[in-house]
Amino acid sequence: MSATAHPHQATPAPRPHRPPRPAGASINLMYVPALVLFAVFIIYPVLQGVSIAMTNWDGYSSRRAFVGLENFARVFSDPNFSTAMTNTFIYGVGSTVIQQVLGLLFAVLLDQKLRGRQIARAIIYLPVLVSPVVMGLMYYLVFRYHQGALNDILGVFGAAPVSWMSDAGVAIGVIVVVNSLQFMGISMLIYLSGLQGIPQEIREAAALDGSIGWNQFRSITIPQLMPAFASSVVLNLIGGLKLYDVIQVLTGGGPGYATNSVSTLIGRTYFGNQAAGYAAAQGVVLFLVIVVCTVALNWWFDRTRSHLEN
Amino acid sequence: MTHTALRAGLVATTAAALLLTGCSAPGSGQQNLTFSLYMTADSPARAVYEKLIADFTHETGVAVDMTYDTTNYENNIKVKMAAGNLPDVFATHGWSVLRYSEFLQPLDDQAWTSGVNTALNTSMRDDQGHLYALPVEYTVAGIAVNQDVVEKAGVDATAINTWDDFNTALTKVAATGVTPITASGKSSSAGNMADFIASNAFTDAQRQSFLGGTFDTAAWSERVLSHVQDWRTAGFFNADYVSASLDDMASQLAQGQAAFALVPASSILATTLKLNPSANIGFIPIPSDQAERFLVGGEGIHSFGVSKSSKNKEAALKFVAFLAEPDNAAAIASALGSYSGLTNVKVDLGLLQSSYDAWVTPAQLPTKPFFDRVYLPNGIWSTMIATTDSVITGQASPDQASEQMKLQYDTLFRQAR
Repeated sequence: MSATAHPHQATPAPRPHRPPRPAGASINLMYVPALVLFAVFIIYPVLQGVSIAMTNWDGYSSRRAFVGLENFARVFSDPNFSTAMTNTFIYGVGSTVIQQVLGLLFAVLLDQKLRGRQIARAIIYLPVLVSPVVMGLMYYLVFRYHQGALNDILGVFGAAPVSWMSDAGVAIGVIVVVNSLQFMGISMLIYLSGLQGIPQEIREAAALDGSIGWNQFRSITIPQLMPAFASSVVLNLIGGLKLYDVIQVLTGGGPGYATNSVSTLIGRTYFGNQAAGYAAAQGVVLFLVIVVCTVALNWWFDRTRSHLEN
Repeated sequence: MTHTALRAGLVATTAAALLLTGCSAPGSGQQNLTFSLYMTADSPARAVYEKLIADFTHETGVAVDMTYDTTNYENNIKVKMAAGNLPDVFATHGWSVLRYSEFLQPLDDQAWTSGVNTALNTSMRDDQGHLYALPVEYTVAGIAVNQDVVEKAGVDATAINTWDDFNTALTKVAATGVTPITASGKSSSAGNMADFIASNAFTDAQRQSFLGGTFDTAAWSERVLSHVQDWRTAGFFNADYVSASLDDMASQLAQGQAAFALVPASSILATTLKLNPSANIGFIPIPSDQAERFLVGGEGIHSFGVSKSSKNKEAALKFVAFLAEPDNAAAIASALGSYSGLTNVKVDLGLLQSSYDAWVTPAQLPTKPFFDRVYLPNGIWSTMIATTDSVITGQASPDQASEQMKLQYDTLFRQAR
């Protein structure tokens, strides 16, 4: 019960003297713990990675020599790295596009007052909670040649089994689809919260002005969803560019080197080829690519948003 | 809940944690050894190791924590090497000298070393003659074969001397509707294939060139990968190659769905027997272009070294000596269906006994070392697998795959220097 309900009570006692608020430099101490953690777990490993990238270390022995930028030069002349980088963009961009389209579609659908929409949301989000390794294994059992679910279905119709993963193009497509289906739930949630954040009055005002249906979606919903677009696209793109687990389980980067992403190639280079220095150089290049993509995307989304607001 | 109750709960939890810690093995004064193996969970050798460990603990009071893995074994050991945290005893799986010797205790002063087969000297002793691992297993391998399948196809597998003979046999098998060669894209079988062919494919000058830092791209393409390309073009590989595992290979051989596999027969024996105990599986020598048949061999997967930095070195050496005792080493090698690297050990080779009797015991055929372990730099194995796999799947021509090999060879050679 609040104090205003008892106006007859005695005058409240004077407030105890509060210690002065920390000001100036002392307030900066508050974020030192976070800064220390960031330095130890992010800055130091990145610097260490750059330092290893300039050596010919094999990854386990005590022998290592400084080789300058040799490993970086090799990155740009290595055909396996070019293949892996191309695949990485396909995984990143492909997954991002599919996840945005499906995520937005489901978000719009499940934003309606439908029966069972909570259950449907939970079902779509559920794969996000599954380990990518498990997801990869499930789809391995679908696409494998012998006793694979897909070939068994084909067999029912009298068709011959297909070695799905022999064709690099098909294998890359399967990886993109598996990754997209797993993480589309994140996009759906982001768009759903974006849709629920759009004030009803704006929609009503637009409807009064005759803007309904697709027209309202294009001119009201999409501009209002720009922050959600930015978050979802950047998160999905970063995830896609770093894709590792699903590829490792489904194809192991093969046939040959055809389905490697830069992340799986790094694993192969570090452990398989025992070239930790070169693997670190590949890692540094991937890191820079992701940073550039993220900054460029954020810049583009900011510009588009302010353009739409104006 | 009051603060007093909270505090009491906290104290009780802490006390219980301390008590439990006090009860655990490391704190009780018992010595614990860590022991890592390259082994599958369903390997018949697992029960043998567990029994031997129980016996060792009973005899010495030293407990042994055994861990095993296959896919990630090498990576885990590499991480532990880099972190200076190796197990006290671990499987060197063919690499005791080239990869691990820097981290291993030389074992020359151990009594059991006098029984090590001298045929292993090339692969298991360094330039100074030091030995770093106990070879419980000595891999001697040829091409694995389902003898019933080849007989049915009218092929006398024992008369295959050249690769042309082998190709004729493959054609006859294919005509019966059976897959001539089973291989697996999910294992390292493509690497084994290249290794088998390469081990006797080159002239002395070419071998010296590989050893000396020059990768002969044309020779690798023409004398190794062109065979693989021919088999691919003729459709001799299993249709499920890309998604097949080592177990699938074993299954196809065991059930008569495939005739040959270019992997050591011992690596697929356990699964084969599980699926078809009466499978007529054996191995034949590897043919060559010059009609000089041969076997490949060297340090086996189940070879054990002692970490140089082990805090339990004395107990670890005792454990390795215990494994080297003839009865114990025989029990392990028999479970694996492999030859032992110790000459005083008599092994029951089961299903493969007749093949060993025919090809190994008479000692008439040369046993060549695995090519990559002697003539190529440490670390090339992964590239050998991927490049041969590229040819099998048609992703690369033999020339392109050889160029990839050269690229990696040059880097690793520079790195090693």
